[in-house]
Amino acid sequence: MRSGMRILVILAVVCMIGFGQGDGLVGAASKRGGEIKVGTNADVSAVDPHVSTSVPNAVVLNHIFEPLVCYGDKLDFVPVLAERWEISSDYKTYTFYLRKNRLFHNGREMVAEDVKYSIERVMDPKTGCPFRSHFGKIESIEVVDKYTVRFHMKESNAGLLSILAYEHPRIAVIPKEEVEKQGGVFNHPVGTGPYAFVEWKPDRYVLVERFEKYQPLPGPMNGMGGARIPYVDKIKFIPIGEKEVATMALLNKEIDFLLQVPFKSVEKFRKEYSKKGIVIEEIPGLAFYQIFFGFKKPITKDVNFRKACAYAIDRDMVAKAATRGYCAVNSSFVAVKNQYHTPYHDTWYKKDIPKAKALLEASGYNGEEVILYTSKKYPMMYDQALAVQSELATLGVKIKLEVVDLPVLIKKFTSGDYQMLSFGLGAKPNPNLAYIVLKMNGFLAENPRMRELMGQASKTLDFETRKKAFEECHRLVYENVPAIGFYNYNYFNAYHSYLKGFKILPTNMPRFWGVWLEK
Amino acid sequence: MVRYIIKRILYIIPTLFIVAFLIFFLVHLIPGDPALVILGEDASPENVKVVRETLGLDKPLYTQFVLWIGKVGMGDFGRSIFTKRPVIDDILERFPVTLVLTTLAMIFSLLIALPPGIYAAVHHNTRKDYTFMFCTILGVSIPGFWLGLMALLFFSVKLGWFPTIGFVPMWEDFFVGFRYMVLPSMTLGLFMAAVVARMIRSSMLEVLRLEYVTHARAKGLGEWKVIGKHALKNAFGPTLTTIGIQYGMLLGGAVITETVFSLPGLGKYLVLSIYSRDYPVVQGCILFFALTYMVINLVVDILYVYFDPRIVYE
Repeated sequence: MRSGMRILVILAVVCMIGFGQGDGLVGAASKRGGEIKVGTNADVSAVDPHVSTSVPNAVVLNHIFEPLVCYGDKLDFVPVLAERWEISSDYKTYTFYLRKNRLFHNGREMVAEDVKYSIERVMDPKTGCPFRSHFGKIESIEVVDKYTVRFHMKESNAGLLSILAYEHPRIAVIPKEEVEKQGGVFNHPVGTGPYAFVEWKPDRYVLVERFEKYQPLPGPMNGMGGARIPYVDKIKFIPIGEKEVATMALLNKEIDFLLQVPFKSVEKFRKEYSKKGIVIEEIPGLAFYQIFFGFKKPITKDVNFRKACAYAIDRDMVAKAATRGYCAVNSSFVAVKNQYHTPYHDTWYKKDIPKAKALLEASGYNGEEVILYTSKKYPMMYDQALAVQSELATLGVKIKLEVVDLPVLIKKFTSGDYQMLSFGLGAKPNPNLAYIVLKMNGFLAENPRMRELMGQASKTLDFETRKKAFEECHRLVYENVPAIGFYNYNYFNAYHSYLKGFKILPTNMPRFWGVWLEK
Repeated sequence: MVRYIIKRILYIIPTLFIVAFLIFFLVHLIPGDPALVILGEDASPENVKVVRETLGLDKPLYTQFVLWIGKVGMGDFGRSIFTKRPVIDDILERFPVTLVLTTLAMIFSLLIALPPGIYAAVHHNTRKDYTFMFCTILGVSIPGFWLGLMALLFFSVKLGWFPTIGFVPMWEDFFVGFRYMVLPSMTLGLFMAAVVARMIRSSMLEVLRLEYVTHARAKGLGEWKVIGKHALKNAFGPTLTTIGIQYGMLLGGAVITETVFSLPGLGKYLVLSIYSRDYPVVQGCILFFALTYMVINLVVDILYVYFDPRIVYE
């Protein structure tokens, strides 16, 4: 009798724990099953994580691979494949202690050798990894034991964690034998993530299915880390180039989730489609849009001209024209939602035409045409260029818009061969990765103090030191106006209300683990 | 005739070489660099150098051409810079999609173009003819993009008859695949129908004025026999040329229809590859289109003999 009671009590406690966690045994079982169809705006360009850079690739590959470390909800570092890490006081050695029993989709356990192989594959020029230089500070990778791997840096460098988190899934840990089996091409990716790759039908879909042996980590979801519970059986990522068609497909329930609703459709989704059971979610993003000034070209190399432009442009108007107001106006390279964004980063020029005119006169501008490059590939890029042209016309600056396709614009951007250029930068949780782009228009070459500050920030993880360095970086940007930042725009995703558990992230990288269907 | 066909086939080889030469150098003249597209905002000069070396873009252009044409001669079109998939595999996977789309569109267009085109020619300068002309002008004027969206909105969203996205090959499941192809082929076929209908009307008008038609009528043949048997066959020659050109053009790029209906066709693939400067894909696709075009022209020339027995190839 006594032992029977004991068993009942134990069972009751187990059940309470189970239900209390929300994802208890019974709850989890009822959430399992089904297939989510996700509408993306472009097809993946590759499925080998080490050679692909585009966002659609990352959206898919995030489900197949796991990083050593990733960004959490608050842009802090969260361990994933690594259980913990140690950093030497001089930031020259990073030791990662790996979790045990993390299985690749081929059934083999992931070990330290795999981490070494994967990062070395990224660093090998033969792989053709486009972001290889990001790992240029690594001198060697040492396998200490089966579950411990140590990175030796060439010099003191505090940026390794942010690179590892930022570059995921592009630096995915992969099994060597699978790459060799596929002749080095790796078009059938094998990772350790909650979903395993099934097939890629170019321009039709990428299909992944739940990896049954996957063991979710304990605790809640946290950014791209924490518990990754694969509830749905399959996820199909379907590229739909036209947003109007994608919206129709969502309304027809041919897709369950639409990534990136365009600004012009937001109101319609909110007022009309919401009545049809469609949820639209918004989150302030970390990506930027700016107008850059070239430091090699006449007139724009003159700081007075650049300041005159800054005084003449109403940032609110430009931001509204480009995003219909779905953004946070911000001229700093540190995003509004970034932990390093302090009130100081809000310092910027208020529209003042008399001051602008005085500075324009001091610059020696005499009515010549100034070329502003832009592209129609991204509507915001073009719309903000139009708004800037109209604002500067009030100052008497003649802006000629040169609309080019994206490869040409990128070439201009990277060479610094332009007077003005309308551009957008992706989310940069580490502000140093945002400021570094000012190398391309020639600003960093002219400003040793800026380089020094960025160097300081890259050599420490101390929050206060970095915060101060980034504030001073902003001061230098404010004083020299190498670019005029306008906004961090908001992300919108839409999905049917039967899709539960989805939470949008500030990087707008969707995650479908922890998501289930309630049909 | 057989000698003529063999000669035409042999002509294809030097023509393809010239096309390959032109494509290669023209593609490389387009501003922009695939290395920069791969790298995006991370494109530091060091990164660009590495990627260009990996892709073989650091070699002189003529060396790149010789290497490429040598491989093409062996049937290897290279690999996509981005997907790393063999270009020929992608072409062979996507071409059937475009082929089915274009062929269905062509059948649809002939079905709706020939009867009214002939009818309008017979009723020349009447209200029926003007109505027909108005409809064909409308047909060629409506942008395919808009028409596609409207078709989706009405037939897929409102009526729910057809899917809005996706594709199932008809050779895997004929009926399901056909359902996916109805709206795209009708959208594409409507434009083609307008062009073909106008062509058949004007050809018929010319033929109907000829003496042999009057003679046939004088012999007491029925009107539809005169039109259907005697006039139409002769009038079809110029229309066949138009159909051939249209068919060839669409095989090379029913881009808009493929984009609106999310079809994994070859035209869309080519356009996206141009935007990303995926040189091997652009070169491979255009070369393939050139070959297709030449084959279609050859077929049209051979068909001429049937429609006009006076034509003799030597």
